[in-house]
Amino acid sequence: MTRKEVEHVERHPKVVLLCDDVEELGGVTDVISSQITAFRTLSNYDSMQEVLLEAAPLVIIIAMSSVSRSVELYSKLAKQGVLDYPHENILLCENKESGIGFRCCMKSIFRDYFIYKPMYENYRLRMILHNALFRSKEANDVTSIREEHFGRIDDELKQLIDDAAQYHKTAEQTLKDARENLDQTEGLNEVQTALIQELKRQHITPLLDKLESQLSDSVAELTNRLKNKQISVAELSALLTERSIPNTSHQASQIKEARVVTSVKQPSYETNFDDPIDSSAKPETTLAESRPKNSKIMVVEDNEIYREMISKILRDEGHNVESVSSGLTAIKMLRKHKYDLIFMDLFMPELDGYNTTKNIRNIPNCKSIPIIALTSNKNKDLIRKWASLGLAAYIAKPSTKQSILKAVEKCNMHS
Amino acid sequence: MDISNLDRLQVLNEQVMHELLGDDESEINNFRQQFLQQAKSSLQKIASFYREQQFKQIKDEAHYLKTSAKAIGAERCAYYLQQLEDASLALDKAQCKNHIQSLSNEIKGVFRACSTQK
Repeated sequence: MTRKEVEHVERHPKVVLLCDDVEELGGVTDVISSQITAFRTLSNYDSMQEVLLEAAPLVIIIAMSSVSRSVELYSKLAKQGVLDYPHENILLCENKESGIGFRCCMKSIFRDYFIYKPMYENYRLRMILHNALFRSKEANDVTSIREEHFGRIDDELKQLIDDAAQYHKTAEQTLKDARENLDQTEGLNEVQTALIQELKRQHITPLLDKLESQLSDSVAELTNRLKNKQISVAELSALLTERSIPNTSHQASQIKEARVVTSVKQPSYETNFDDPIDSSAKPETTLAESRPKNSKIMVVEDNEIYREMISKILRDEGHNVESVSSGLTAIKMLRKHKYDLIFMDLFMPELDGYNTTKNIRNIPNCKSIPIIALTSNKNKDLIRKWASLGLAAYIAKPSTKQSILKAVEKCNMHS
Repeated sequence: MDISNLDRLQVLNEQVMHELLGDDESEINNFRQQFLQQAKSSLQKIASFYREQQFKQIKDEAHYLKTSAKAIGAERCAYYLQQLEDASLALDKAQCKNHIQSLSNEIKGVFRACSTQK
């Protein structure tokens, strides 16, 4: 461990400086630590991951030996899912790379940049840091308020749905008891009993039937409305979460992905590579032509047996498959990682295939991700509605290995 | 798979899994055993929902089990699960009861079919 790391070992830092040469940044670390004590310098990749995951620092300053290495490090961390929370990022670079630093910020890879070599302006760095801390803290506060707020609404809706079910059950029992009591009621004589039976047949039983039916319809309608509200809340929450997370991590992931498919060998962040800004400007056809046959595929299906079958078929063909059991989990994973293709069930608890797709289309790098629908549902209107969100193919369960692989091939060809 | 005509449906159509997974018999057996466990657990849930008259839950559970029933080729099970879905949607308690009983018998049939193929 280097000297400076020992000096700035803060367990839950609000600001982290990620670099490859701590000694080079002695002056900068002094300025930052004079501004904020909850600060830590990290030069080891494992420590970086660990601290980012545990502490979720508000501001991440990256100062690798070149801008390309800084972008590579940031995108690698983004790809690993450790940056998926509201934060600000600042690039520190040498004066000779100021143009690249500027273009990185224009492309929203970094929020701001600062020239620290050969000279730096002390107060300018403190100002940038102050503003970044302020914005990041605000975003975090909004996120926690939102999570608490939506969580409470969701709990209340769940309680209302349970209450409606309980009310239905109790009311039905009351009606059942009333029918039984009525069956046992007898008059003082035969005439009275016959009169009671007639009353029961002509008026009371039809009334009770009508009440029971109305009750059932009303509760079903109420429950449906509450469930729709629950889905809307989940959608809104997912949308707001998406917007509150800086685009920077997604941008960085995309740049990283582009590099992976254009290179023969996947670069590591320890090795040098060309200017990422220039490489991202390469024509899109180059990326498509070099798309590997083995895709990264997500399978979203609540039935674990069928989920595992589909995953096995795809894995046996060499694809990299990750499977999840609900739409909400799929959305969370798609925000963190990039996939080439999704297989999705229509009917799933919490969030169905249609609403999951709607949410997915709001995630920046998922607007055109191919989705293959898995369903046995014969409701053409529902499938048409789903297809309007952009479905690449439709598979009727249980289907065959051949059809499933053909659908994947079709998606790969069209990508 | 058309599960609308009961007469033409098999207790366990082996071709379905062969078309899905190929000829890996151990894998096929593994999935069949998983289905039997899943079916047992789902049937208990369905019976409990029926006693509580929770039709929506009956429908959801029947739909859930129908996916794996179709996938392993338990066509008659899938048929009764579809019937159960329809009956629960119509809040038809008597029909639900009939279909649950038929389903229970069909699951036993799948169990026997799986045992003879081991």
